[in-house]
Amino acid sequence: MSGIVRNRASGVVSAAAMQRAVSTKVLRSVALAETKRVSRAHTAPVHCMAIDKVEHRFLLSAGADTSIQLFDLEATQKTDTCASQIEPAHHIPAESGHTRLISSIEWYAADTGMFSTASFDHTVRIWDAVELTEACQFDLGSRVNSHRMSATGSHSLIAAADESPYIRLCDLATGAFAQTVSAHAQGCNDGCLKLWDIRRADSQLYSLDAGNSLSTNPSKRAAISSVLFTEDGCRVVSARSDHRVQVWSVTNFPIEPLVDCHISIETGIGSSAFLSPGPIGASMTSAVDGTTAGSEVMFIPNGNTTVAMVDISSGQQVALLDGHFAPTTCTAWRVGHLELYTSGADSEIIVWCPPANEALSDAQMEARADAWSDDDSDGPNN
Amino acid sequence: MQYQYVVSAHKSSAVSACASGRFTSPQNDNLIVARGNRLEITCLDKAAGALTPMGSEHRLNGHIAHLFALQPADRPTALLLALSAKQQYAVLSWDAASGQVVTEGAGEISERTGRRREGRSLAAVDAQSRAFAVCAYQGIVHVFAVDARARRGVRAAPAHFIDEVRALDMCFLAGDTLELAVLSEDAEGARRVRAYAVGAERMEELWVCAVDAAATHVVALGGGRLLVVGDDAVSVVGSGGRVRGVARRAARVAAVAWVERGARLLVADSDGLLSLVVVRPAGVFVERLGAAPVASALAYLGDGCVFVGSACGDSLLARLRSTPSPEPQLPAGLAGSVLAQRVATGDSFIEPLAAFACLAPLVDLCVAGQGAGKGEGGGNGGVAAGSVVTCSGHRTTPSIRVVRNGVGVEPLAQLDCDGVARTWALTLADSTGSGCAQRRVLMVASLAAASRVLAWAEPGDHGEMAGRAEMADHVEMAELAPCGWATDRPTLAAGATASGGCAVQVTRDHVTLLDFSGRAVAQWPAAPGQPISVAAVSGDAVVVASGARLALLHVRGDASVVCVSECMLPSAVACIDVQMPDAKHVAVGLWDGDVQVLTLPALGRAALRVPALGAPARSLLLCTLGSACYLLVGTGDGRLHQLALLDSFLGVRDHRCVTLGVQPLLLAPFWNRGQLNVFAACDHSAVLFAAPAHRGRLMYANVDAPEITCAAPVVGSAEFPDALCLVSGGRLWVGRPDPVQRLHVRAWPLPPWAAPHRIAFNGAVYALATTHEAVGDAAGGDAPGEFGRLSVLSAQSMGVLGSVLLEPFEMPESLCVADGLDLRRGGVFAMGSSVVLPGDDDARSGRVLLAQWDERARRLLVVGELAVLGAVYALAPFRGMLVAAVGSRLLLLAWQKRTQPLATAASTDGSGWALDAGWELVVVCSQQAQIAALSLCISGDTIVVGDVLASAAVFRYREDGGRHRLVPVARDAAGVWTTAVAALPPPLPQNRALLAPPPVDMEMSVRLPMFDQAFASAECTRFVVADAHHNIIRIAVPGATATATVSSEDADVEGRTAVEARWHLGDQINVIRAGALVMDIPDPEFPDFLRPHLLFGTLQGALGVMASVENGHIGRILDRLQTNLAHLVPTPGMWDYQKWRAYKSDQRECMAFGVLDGDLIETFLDLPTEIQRKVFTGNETATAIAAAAAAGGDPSDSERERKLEYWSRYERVEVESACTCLAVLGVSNIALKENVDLDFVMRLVESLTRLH
Repeated sequence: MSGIVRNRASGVVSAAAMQRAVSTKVLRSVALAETKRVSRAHTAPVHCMAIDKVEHRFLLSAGADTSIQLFDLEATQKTDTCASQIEPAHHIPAESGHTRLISSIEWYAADTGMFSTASFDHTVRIWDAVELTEACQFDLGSRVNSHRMSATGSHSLIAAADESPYIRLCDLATGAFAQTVSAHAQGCNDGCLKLWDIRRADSQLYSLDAGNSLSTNPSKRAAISSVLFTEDGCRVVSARSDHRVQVWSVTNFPIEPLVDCHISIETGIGSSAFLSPGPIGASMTSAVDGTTAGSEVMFIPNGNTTVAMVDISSGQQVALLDGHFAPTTCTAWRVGHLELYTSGADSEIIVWCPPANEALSDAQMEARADAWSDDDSDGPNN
Repeated sequence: MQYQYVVSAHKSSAVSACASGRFTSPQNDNLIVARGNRLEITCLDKAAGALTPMGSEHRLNGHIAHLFALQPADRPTALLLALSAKQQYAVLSWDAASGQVVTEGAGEISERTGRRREGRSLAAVDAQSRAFAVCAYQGIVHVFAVDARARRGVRAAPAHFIDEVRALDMCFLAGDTLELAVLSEDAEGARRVRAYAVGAERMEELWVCAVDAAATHVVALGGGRLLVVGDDAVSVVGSGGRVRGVARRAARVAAVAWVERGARLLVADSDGLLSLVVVRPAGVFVERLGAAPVASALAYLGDGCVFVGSACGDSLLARLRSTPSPEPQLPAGLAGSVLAQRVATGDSFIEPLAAFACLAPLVDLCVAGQGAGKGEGGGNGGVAAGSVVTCSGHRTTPSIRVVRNGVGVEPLAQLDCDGVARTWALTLADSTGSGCAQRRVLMVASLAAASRVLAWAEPGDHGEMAGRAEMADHVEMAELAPCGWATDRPTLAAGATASGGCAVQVTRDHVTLLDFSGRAVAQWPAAPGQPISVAAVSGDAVVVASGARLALLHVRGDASVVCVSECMLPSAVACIDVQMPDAKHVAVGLWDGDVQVLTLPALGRAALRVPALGAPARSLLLCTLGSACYLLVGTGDGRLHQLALLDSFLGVRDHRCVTLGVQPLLLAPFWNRGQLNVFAACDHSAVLFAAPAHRGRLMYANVDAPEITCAAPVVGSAEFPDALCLVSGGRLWVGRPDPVQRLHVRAWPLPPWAAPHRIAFNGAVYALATTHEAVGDAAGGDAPGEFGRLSVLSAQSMGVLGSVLLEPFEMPESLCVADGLDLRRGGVFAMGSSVVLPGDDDARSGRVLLAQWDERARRLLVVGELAVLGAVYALAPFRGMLVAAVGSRLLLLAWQKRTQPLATAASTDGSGWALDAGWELVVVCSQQAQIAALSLCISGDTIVVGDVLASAAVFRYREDGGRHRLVPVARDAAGVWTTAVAALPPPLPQNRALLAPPPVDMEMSVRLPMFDQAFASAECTRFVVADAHHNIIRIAVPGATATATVSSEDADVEGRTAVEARWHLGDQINVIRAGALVMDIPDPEFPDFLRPHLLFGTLQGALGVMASVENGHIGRILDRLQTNLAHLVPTPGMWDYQKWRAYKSDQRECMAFGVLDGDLIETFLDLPTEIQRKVFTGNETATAIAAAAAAGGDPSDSERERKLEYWSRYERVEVESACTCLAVLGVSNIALKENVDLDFVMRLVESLTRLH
């Protein structure tokens, strides 16, 4: 790094190139955080998480226990081992809101006053984040698998996917369903990725199923477990249950994906790779912000105990994060802080960060030295 | 609210883009150079081979990334297309009538989706100037049609999506239809050119052709063909594929420019070599032309002249020749420059014409403080106190540059004469001598109760006194025999008569006329009982005053003195000036405070009435500076009033006042290099000059010499041209001022490939240390490679005193002065290094070396060494120890007694290793800091660490029971790619009450809860962070007392930080150091409110000053002035000022706040008075714009709508760590809102200009 910093100062290397080189290196080093942990607040698998987009400070989590936990990621308490523990700041108790598993949760993009949830109890609910009270709900009539709000807060529509063959657009401004777009054959996870422009009358733009159509038997087609718009809005990433990840351009009519890759889920320590192709897709996140300048990576829960870190632009698998004791379900990237939060069926939320980013105070050093007597690995001088 | 005032003392000088064309008139060959956000328009003088500037430089609200000349067929002159780094474009033209740049069209390229290109955007212009294309987003091209007939003649087409995500270059094919060729690289690294037909709606692909893997530039050849220029080959490519190619020397192509479109292309590479690509039907040929600066932009000006603009060294104007010259001759201006050794190589087709100095890239700087100037008096050069020494340039033309504020005075002779109050210098010619005219310079010194007359002879005077060399060495100056001169009483005035044959001496009792040999020729006695109190001599006119009685005497034929007229004035006379340019007036200052102008010879009251000045005048001067005539009045309280007179002498056009010091001012005009300047002598002397770049406005340059109380020009001396006779501390000396400019830069070239990387100044031994990596042989004569080296240079001559060669693969990283370490010796530098072994991607180890320059033994010795695990990115002295940022850790190093004896004895050979036998460097504390701690700053017990990508963290030193600890205090959580950090000192105690500005109405509705509570307190630690996105951020951390209560319970809680200021500078700051360019002058009007603390150096060669405005009210007045200036005074391009200064990084874009833009605010003084008033009152927005239309285009409704639309996205005021930023002020009437007058604001801005 020293040479590239020197070259940035003299203009030989542009700041952007230097940042890409450094951030790639730093991201590769992401590991389990030693000084930070999230307290275990859920009693059942956590199925969804969201970090607010304004201050990157508040984490929402929900799952099978129907409770919603709100964590302030900056309010920490000390534990016996001197790690900072993040306790829930507020919570909505189980059964007080949703009555079934909560399948997805989202912050309103423009401010931290509102968030929304979707649940297997057939509803999408909007919550006041300050009072933690329910503001309104939409009843869709069947289990809601996923929902999304505007990524910029520029409109008030919520897209909800339930078990019907339609995507429903719920309008917050009117409290009614604004539009319904026809998606897939009912109950069939046909492995197709479809794109709509909801401003147009013939709103479906195209259907992307490269490679899938080769398989003549529809039942053999791998279901898409997760989709993600990249941060620039120009590409869509789809992850399939057969661990295939494809990146598609949305600006022209793609026949072939920009990137098509397979994720290796072998951790090398013999964890059995089993899949949970359940109705809820595992949710992935991309980590694209100032600290990861230039290098686009995304985190994909693999369905086993691991989370894969994949470079979006090249399709290369950068790292495999193994830390959960049960299948991983979702990930959340804290923009600007180089922190990844992952959750799993073991009801835990785990923090990941580059090891160099953890400043240990004296007390922490001592506590760590007691707990791990192999300290002093840095040598006599440091 | 403590505002940060940021101003560039030396503006960025790196050329970011340039263009040539017939811009100002169809006859002129213009060169337009963009330096940062400034446009310089020059005209080529073909005969002289020089560039003459057209008007002053033009500021745009944006960093200019591209510049093109458009020459539509139906226009006589060219248009200028400028593209900013923030994706704005502007089409400019020249209004010959007003001599101003006019905006013909402007806009912004913005897409809601899409990813911004990494680095700068691409742009291409059609050869027939029908269209231009910009690629600002990955895979998106915007094409604009140029309509030359109407104003606002740019029509934007919809965005075109292209397949090329990684486009490298593009150009329009020179054909009848618009066709665009894009050079791109795919994920595997293969490169290809794809051509598109540009339609109104979409772009159709025409053909695609694979090209060399190293191709970087495409240029159109015509006929649907392209020239693809790469790092090692040039090839012609067309629809049929690659036609032909030729290899060229392997070097990265830096810039290309057509000499003759379609036939001869000039190519500059990253080694600084120019070559010419010749395209002929027979083939493509490459011809090497010769060495030039490393180009960032090239422009061919016609007539063989080419401008090589550089971003890493001086730029060059050169002429291309058809035959190489074996021994090129350097023009006079280039002889001593850094470029000289580079371009003066034989066998070159390049004939250098002129060089343009540039400090870029300014990698490091140090401020010479205490101990500097030890060698002063021993001649010129050297590092004086208050100088800034920079590491500039890289690769081919590295240099060390010494930047100094103010005018230095080169001492020529120190005269043995003490107790002098005033002095006059006069030159007499011996008219009586036979044959050759003899000349003699007399210096008349007036002491408390005596006068002394010293003389030296000019050449031609056959006498015992010799020429200059002897003078300067021995300071021998003969005292004249006391023949006719009255030496037993003080002299009131002295001068030479108009013919130069006689001298006039005025004492209390007599006016005496003396000839060349000092014999009294005539005498005019004062009336009995009415001794002369004040007098002035100018040529044959002598004006004497006794009390309130004024008499005009005249010298007749160098033989007699007669009284011409007399008059009575209402009060006693304090001072007289009779050096009128028109010789028809005399100005008289009276003790009652009045200044009167009287006509000669009748001594009647002239029509010119001087306004009341508040204090009695002590010195008067009427002179013509620039093109205007001024009456300058120095008062007893150190103020200088400048009264600009109407041409007819009938009235005062403009009245301004500045405070220079606190003691009476004495004014003296003098000629310096053909320009008339005025020396204002007082306790803080200054030189006044008319600055052509600022519309002839009078500027002040501090005089870089000890307190000068009186100055007298030595007129007409051939030996000492432009010399001044000066009195400082009662001693008389002769000095010659440097060329008058505010900032004086002197360059010391270094050998190529030895670019300095770090620099430190040690006052104890008056030496500089630099580190650099040099390409060359190691001491052992191994294979050539890169070797790190630490050198100590003499601060006097910049000669290398000694150096230490580092180990193989070891590179220097950091440097500081370590005299504070308990070493019992001075002259110690600490250097940190990194070792990157082959195969490793990062440094796994490094060293801290302590090197001492032993002044007596004249040797550089390494006295201490410590190996650490990681690169030592930063070092700083701290409480008798050293803080080192090593990799991701922070180490505290101390110099302690050895516990084990030194294993190897100190070697006494020439290697310089002499480790101290009794003491060693040890680590006393280690703390994990961040990902990679790149920079450090110290403020008291607090250490701020700047991280490579995670902003800054704050640690506080604590010592308990002999154990040293570094406690993490706070951490800024934002992802900021830090390049430099610097601590700000706390505000002065007397200013603390003033920091909160008086409340105004709800315009600034957003309160600052955090400022009101913890962060408004003086206790907090403030520091400035500069980032790689060219922003400045100021961060506050609660002070020790605020955290003490918390830490007692839990020592490990990291607090939060508050962001107090965010601002976009537009240039990457490489280094911030504590220091100032000016001495600390107490300003009586704004006492200690404006305190310059920090100096910064940037990648583009700017040297800037950061000052604290420790008065909330004054800060807000300046904030309002800045807003009014930004909104009411149009700039070329009409780019939005707020967008230009808006904080921008990958993560967020938000309005700027908390920083005052000195470069903008100081332009207020350059505005015409009526515009100033309109900017000040602010409410007449429309009329102000109409009145200022001469300075730019007129914003139409669509322009305003565009701005409104843009800023509506920023309505959400940023919320940061519970501290909401100030709502940005709108245009307001400063007079009404702040209850101040225009004059106050003028004085305020003028005192701001004296901060640098």
